[in-house]
Amino acid sequence: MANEVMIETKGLTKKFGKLLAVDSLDVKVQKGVIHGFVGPNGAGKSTTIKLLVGALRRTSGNGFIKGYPIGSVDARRAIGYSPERPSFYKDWTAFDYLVHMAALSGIKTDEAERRSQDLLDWLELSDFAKAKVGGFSAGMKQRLSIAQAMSHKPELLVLDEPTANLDPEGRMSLLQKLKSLPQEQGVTIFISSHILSELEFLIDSVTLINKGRTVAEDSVKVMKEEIALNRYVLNTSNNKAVMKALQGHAAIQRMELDNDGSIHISSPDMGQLQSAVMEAVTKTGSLLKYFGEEQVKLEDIYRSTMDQGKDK
Amino acid sequence: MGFKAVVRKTLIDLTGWKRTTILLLLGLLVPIIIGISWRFHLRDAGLSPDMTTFYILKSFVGISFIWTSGFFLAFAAVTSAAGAISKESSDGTLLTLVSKPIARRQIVLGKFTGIVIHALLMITVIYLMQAVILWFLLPVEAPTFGALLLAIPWMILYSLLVILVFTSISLALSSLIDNQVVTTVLACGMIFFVFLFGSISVMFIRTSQTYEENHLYMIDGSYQFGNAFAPALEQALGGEMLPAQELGEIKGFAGIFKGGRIGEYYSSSDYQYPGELANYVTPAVSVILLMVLVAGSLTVAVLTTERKDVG
Repeated sequence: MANEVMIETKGLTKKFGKLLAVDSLDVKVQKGVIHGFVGPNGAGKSTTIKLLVGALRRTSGNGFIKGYPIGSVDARRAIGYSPERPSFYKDWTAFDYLVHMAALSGIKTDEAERRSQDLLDWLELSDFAKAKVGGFSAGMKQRLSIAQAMSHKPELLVLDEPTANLDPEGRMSLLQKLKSLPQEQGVTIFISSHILSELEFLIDSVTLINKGRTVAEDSVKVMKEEIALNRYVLNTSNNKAVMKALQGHAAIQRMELDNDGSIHISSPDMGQLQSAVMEAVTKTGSLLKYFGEEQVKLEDIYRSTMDQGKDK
Repeated sequence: MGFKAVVRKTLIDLTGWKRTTILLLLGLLVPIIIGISWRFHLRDAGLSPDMTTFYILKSFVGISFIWTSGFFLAFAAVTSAAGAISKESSDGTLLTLVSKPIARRQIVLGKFTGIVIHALLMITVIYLMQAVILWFLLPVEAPTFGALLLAIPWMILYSLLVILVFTSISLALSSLIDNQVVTTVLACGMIFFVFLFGSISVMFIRTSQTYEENHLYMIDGSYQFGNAFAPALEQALGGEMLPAQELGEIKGFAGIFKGGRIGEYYSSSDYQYPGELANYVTPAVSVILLMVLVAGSLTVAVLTTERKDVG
């Protein structure tokens, strides 16, 4: 399973008239991971996803799913796709809809029925199996959309904002279910979401895109380590005085106070910084509450990467 | 398997009880009204049993050709097919559909097959009910009823041609235009064009000569349909082509007789149809031309859908 590539795009480009929605995008996703796809509104996330699932035709570049060209039937056989705003046949029941979706994918009727019931149970929709989809709440529709994406046991789940319409409880419940899929069923998940805190809980690797281009791509762990490198957090009983004492010290590259009352410091030399901090704390008569390496969140990676993008 | 699923879904969509009831009532409305008027006509005419049988058979075939297989079936096929792709597209369901491992051409051909099967089943039921209604309304003896039933397979064969042509063209429009209402209006306009082109063109150019010299019959849908219908008509009426004078209003609509166009009929001084068959092309050529139109329209529908950006 290691090093097997599930998604790979090379210079993938999509233009709508003069509008360049996806610009030479390079993405690589390993098999068996949960991969986040993150970017600001209008960055080209949904367009890229629609290119991957074969709904849109590429203008140039290439893309492969399990080695099959994107848009081909073989590539789509590997994919289960849940769109950002799912639409359904409103007069159909949830069960019939799922059986139909499985049948479209070539699953025989008896297996499709069994699979549909399992998915309805798994996504806690079995009480509404015989209810018409038109009467479903937005959250129920979102879950049904994920069920239809999984109806033919795809190896790759492509989920565009899957938790957008769910309440906090439903959101956590779904995320936990999704998190177990790679280990339990060997499924790879490619997920786009603007809620970074929930992706943090879920993903192993991430692609950050902006203006249709890849800004950064790696495992979350590596990215966190890169950003955390040389970054420290300091908290004292008198932050302002300590900051004043540290101002202009050779060991400090950058220093700022956040809204939560912590000082964030960039320094190339941990030893020198440690001495400077101790000196400043003693000098100001402050109490040292915390001093250590920065704990980086996905949001920090996002901010840092997008800021670099702006600088460029 | 995916293809079968599309056919099944199309059939389910088209067989809702409301839609089915409306279509059956609409399809049978004209035969019922005309049947009632014939009841009085036949009562006063004092025809012999043979003449009565022939009159009823001819009228049954006539109404089947002009109304049931003509306008009604064409409209039913058009309204079924016009939303086949465009409705999925405007409702957003096409996005999920095209992400499934099924070739887009199978989606188009599956919908086409479903609509054709549904229309054939519906028209068969309507023909049978039409025969039964005439049996109740008119003085139909057992042999006459048998003759009506024997005519039905030939009418169904001709209906298949109408279904194929109008479904394929509507499907092509549906794949080209995302708005179902616009597609339906255009497709309905096409029905009028196909059936009335010959009559309207003769009304404007006044003479059949211009019509013939410019080979306008080649693009005259009513002529090609009428010409393709001729062998079915012959078989339906007992295996012999009857004297044109006996065919009454059928030939005016079929447009297969020289000067038999409605336009010419109304512009002639004595309001008489000449009885000579036009024979511009053989019925087989007309069938081939119509099938080429079907193949062309389906190709457009498939290629457009395959190249479509969805979502």
